[in-house]
Amino acid sequence: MVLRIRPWLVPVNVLGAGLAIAACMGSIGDGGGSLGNGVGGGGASGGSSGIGSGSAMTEAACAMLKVPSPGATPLRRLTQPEYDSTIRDLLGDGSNPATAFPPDQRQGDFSNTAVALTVSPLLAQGYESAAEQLATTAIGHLSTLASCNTATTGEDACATQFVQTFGKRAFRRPLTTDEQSGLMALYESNRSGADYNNGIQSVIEAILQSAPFLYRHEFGAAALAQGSVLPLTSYEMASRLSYFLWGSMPDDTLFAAADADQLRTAQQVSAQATRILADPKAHPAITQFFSEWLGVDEIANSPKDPTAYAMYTPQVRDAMQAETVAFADWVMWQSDGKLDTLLTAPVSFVNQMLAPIYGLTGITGDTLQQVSLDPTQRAGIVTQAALMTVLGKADRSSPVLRGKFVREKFFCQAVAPPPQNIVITPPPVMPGVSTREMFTMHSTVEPCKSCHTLMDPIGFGFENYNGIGQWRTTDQGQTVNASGTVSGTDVDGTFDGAVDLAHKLAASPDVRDCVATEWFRYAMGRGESTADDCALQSLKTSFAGTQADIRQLLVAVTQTDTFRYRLAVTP
Amino acid sequence: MSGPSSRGLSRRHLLGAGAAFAGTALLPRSVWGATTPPKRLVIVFTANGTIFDSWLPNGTETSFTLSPILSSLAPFQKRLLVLNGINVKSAGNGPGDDHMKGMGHMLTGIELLAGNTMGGAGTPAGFAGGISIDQRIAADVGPNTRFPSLEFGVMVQNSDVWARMIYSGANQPLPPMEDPVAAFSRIFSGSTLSASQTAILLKRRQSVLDYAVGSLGSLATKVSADDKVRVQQHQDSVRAIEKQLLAQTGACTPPTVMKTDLTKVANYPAIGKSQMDLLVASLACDQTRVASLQWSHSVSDIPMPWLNISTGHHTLSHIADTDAASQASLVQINTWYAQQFAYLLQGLDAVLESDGSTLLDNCMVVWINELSKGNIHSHQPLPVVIAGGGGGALRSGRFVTYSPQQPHNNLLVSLANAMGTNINTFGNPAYCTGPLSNLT
Repeated sequence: MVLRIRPWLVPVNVLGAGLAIAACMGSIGDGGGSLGNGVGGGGASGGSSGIGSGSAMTEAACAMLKVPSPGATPLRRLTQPEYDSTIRDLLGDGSNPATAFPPDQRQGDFSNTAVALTVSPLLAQGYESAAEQLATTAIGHLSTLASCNTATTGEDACATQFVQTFGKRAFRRPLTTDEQSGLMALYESNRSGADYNNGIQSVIEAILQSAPFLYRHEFGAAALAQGSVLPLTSYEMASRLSYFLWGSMPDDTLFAAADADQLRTAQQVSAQATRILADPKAHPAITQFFSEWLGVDEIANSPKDPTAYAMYTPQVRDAMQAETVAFADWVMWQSDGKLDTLLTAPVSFVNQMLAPIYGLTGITGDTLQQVSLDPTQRAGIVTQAALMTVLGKADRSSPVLRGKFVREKFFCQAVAPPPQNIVITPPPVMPGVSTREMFTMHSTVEPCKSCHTLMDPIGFGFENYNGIGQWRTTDQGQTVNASGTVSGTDVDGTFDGAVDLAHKLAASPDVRDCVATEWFRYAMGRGESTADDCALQSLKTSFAGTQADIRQLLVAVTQTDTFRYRLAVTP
Repeated sequence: MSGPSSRGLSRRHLLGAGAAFAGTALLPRSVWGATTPPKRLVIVFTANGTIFDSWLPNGTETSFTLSPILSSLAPFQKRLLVLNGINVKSAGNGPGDDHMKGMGHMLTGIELLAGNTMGGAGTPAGFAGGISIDQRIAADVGPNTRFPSLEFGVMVQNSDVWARMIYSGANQPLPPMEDPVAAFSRIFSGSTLSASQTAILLKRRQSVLDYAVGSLGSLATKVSADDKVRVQQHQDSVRAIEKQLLAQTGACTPPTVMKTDLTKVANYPAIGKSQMDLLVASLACDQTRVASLQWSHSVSDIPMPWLNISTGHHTLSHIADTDAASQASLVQINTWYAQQFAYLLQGLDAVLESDGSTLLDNCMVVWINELSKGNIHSHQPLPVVIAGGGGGALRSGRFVTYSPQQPHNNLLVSLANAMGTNINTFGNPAYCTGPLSNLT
């Protein structure tokens, strides 16, 4: 058809014609193992350059390595969910005090990026207020925390015992003698002129604001160093496992394994990881990954125009977000845990608020319930309402955001941003002009073309979903054309609609490798560096060998060099 | 509500009792009641640039008419400096998209760190690369008060580089307080404890915080250089709250703060009003001398249904200049922000100081933005308004045009100088040639 829309991407300067967009894709920000300038090396791309390339080190080269090669791991502070879960497990206190803290600073996709987790005075004060409140509550049921009869055992002996046992659980390792004596001195000082409980309260408050509680500090087992590479101690490994998979502190079984120094071998670690995953405590930490990876945790930042989408109420929005979580949970724990299922299963979870978005009737109540969806219209997370909403504009769909998302999140490719010196002024929605028509200009005119051909032809495949994820067969009165093209990947070619695309993604080794890489980043709280090449290589190989079983992938993460070892700390 | 905190353990009461316990000699006395009132700095941020034609005053340096957007500031015209020609030169460099850079450079005058937050353009970035000017000033004037600075936010919503403007150092953003009730509790709430209970509590708090400081110090010696920076910042933060525990407060009347749903856009004006009331009271009570108010975040897409604007601010800011309706809405939005700024100035002007001047006379209230013009993401000329007399440091009542444009780092230097902080460069010296001329 004749182009009926005005140009809406206008170069401001005369740069237009000569503007060469040489590199629309490529790696970004590879840290090369360095954490220079206080910022984590964080690559967002799996490839060293260009499109869909693999790790720099070959499997054969990795097999030749004599010494494990872990990338540098920054000191990790407890995130807010980790703080709350740790408090629940340590004190039996489910008050979630971290919800009153200022929000964790975010850098990159995941909320656990270590370098972003700094402590401002406002947060320090949050820690103090929480510690006082928690200690006050704990003193009320002290016997459940540490059973000791002060009348028969003596106050000071009970205090010593408390510092040792509670301190060990809070620090996730035995106390040093300095720590023990420091806390006893604190107890004595506050016992003096007051009472036993005041002394113990000071110990609890101090522990909850101390570095060993708030940080997961690791120094490695120095005696077993191979050059600058050290295995973790069993206590450090217990924490790595429990925070990766539970988002909380080790349980009694992990403590017992650490006490016996039985978290050293790959088999020991794997057995514990498998046990941990079988505990329902693993569910929130695992689904948090999916929410943050897909970006649906920030759905509130995608406001909709109520005149375009009157159905999109806060209740519907919340249900969408919960739907993705419920679906990921179902894939992981009730279905087979396979990436293929995550990407393609025509299954979801809706309540009466969300059902109309999917055109479903007869659903009542606020509780999400499992439903079967039309397999010609829906495929796993790929077509879910929350994702389509986040990847939609306020009043329309967005082929650009959707295509960019597929490249970045499923293929781990970085798409270069538009040049800074152009006015991007999308025209208003025009009656009779489909979204596809409006965006077609992008992929036909320079300077837009060279990069938008990487995004829009994929994004067009989602045109059957409007800006809040409802299925549609017409757009502005025109029949939807949802044919698309994938290029620059291992599954290049045309496809018809997002369901077809989802099955393409499920069959792609590049996508499988990318998912493994994303889990690696989430596990380590940082982007990968070149020193992690072999760890990532082994992870990808392992994931491929299980037909992309995500549950087994999580165990495999704990088997990598990066997870089991660390670089020596040089202060 | 404006009651005491639920714990009944909060600070204000302790402060009175604590003075007897801790001894006044430990700390500099508040200058409340002294003959010369202290100078104060307030930073106010709003997002997405402005509509310059409707923002620029009409007339000459000393004889001018305020624009439609700024018209509500007319009662304060003699105490205003409207600046045209400030250029965020640093924004031409470093990682990040234009909003990220605008926000992160605005008060720091230095490039963002490399990192892994991918913006809408540019290379991926981390947080800002250096300290913000308010914090540099707070390093000098902060020790005089209980809080070196107080940061207030209104529906800031996010916690990434787009949403942070105050930095105590590179990669060290300071989050604003977003809940007026929590802010009230932190700054003003009282306690019902007896004097002896108070003494026990104060001793415990101090010893516990000492322990925390020691434990962080011990960790800092054992970690890598990069980690050490974060641990030491944490340690500084604990020291800061320890000082708040011991410092004294002056007698003052806290404002009434209503509990509001912080997620409802319709409450944006009410939350803003509460935060401004708290900000004014914090200065009036000399709890701090450096404060900031952050409306939403850069790229803010808040709609303003109370103005019958249902499209988000950022969305509107991207529409072409030729679209009259969106231009009109943007003028309306910026006019509304100017009215809020006027409300803040009124509040400051209503506080009488010990020498008969008003709090506003001794303030520099700096209204700044991460962009100049939204749809082209430009960083020059930045719309800057400075209100208040700065305690005599400013020659106010003027509309100053800088031609050629001046780097915004120079403005930051001048703000510091006006507050008594003696520096002649700030941020990346590549973008700084000294203080701004024709300001003080």
